[in-house]
Amino acid sequence: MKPLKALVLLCLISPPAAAGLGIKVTPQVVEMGAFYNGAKIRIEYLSEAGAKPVVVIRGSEVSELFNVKGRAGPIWVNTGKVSISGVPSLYLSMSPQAVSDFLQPEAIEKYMLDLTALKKQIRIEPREMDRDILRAEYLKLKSSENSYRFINDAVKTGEPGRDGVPYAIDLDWPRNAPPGDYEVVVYEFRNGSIAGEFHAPLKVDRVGFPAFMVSLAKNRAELYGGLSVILAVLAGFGMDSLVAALRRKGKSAPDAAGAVSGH
Amino acid sequence: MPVFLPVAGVSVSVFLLLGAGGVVGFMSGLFGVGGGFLLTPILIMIGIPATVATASDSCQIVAASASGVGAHFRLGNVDVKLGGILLLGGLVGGAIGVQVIKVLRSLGSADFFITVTYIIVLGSVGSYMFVESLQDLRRGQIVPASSTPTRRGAFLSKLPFQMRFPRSGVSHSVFVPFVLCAVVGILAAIMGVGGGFIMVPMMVYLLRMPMRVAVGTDLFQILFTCAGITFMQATANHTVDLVLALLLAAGSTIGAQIGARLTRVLRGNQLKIILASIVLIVMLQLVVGIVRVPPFLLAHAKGH
Repeated sequence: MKPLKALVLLCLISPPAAAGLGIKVTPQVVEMGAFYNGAKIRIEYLSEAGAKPVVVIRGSEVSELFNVKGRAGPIWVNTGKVSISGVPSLYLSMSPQAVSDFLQPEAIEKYMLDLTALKKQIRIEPREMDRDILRAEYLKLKSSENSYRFINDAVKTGEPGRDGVPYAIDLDWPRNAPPGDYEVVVYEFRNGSIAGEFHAPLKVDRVGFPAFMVSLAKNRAELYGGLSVILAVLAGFGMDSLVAALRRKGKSAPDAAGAVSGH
Repeated sequence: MPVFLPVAGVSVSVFLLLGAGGVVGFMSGLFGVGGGFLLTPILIMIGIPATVATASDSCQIVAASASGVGAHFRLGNVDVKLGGILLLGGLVGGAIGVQVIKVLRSLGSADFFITVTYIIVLGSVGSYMFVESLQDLRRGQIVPASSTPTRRGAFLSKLPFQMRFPRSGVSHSVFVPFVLCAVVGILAAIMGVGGGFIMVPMMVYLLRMPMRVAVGTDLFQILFTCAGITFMQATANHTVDLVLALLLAAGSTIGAQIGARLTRVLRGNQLKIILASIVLIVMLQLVVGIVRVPPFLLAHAKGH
């Protein structure tokens, strides 16, 4: 029970959160190196007995621009653009069971614990657009991209101890989630009411070679652009020269001569 | 084996990128087309942001066309003189096309216009090429197209500034390739593609160039056009992902070599009929795509 010991130690060292219990996110920084392919994230939480935790990971609120498709005679074309804001870029909600089993609709809406609650937060500009349809389409699109997910059986409950009940979530971090600052929030509900709310940061950041390349692309764009063209040209001519050299070598070899003439 | 693409910010299988690059490079070497019409949607499908996909695709086309140009140059398929004029015409046309798109966007009818232009151009070019090549194949005709005198040819030969292009075996007024290529450049800018699909048929049917020389010369002008686009995308939008482009290029340069060698095996009419079939398939796919109800009514805007 090494992780639990570490958790207890962490609780002793860390400043107490609300009811004296806290959350631990491992790792706290997801590093996107050259061979990054997503990450495993473990969220551990120690709750008082009888509480129901709901863990939410959310990205920062962004304003996104979308093309809206509509009919023009028999064909579908882009009929305009809308700006969508008011909701996080990523929203993963994890609970031990369906939230509707232990929460009233008011609490679900207040803490945005289902798609209906999220839908109400979506702001759409310009206002003339049919916002109900667009809100539903936005949620459909985000769900298909795995950016919005509600998982009802993700929270594992451990054996209750002296300090409380340990909960753990092992999550496959979406590998295409962009770099940025995310927030892990644990809502602790007791008898349908909120009993505690705990926050922990989660950072996703480029490191090493990817960080260097992005810095070069943004801060020294002319150099990066020139380098891109030169490397592409060299790759092309290099490959061509290699193939030509191999072909010459093949032609000079007696066994290969037949194959070339047969070709 | 996954690799993290720094600018795109996503992780993708190396083999997937090599394979996608290989297919597009093969088409590039065989038909002299950039392949952007095919690769950009594939990249978007595998999760790469549209802006990064478009810009990085230009960069890999530089590599693929450099590889193809090298191979075609050795085979005597590149008309540098004519290619230079085509390049100038294409650049002028491209600049005009960008302004046309700006005006159409301000009128709010750009997308409809682009879609309809795409279908009409691909449909007409593909159908004409397909029917003509099929008739030639049935007749077993192997006479180069440039040797057939026409009334149009007689008119074109009276225009001023006549110039001989020995590599292509044709003579034209400088204005003919320049103006034709400017028109293709306008269409290419409006349609948002490199223009190889229109350029190669235009060189074969209007400039009467042999198919193989048209392919090699088109790759020559694509190399310069896409090099310019890559640099502009990198400096203005910071959307070129060099890792993505080089992985695609590794596949496409090999594919381009195979494609270029295959032009020696296939006859001109066979090449034309395959290209015509691909053009028509793309056109039909486009028609189906715009008639069918889309899975989502919202799509991420490219932002440029």
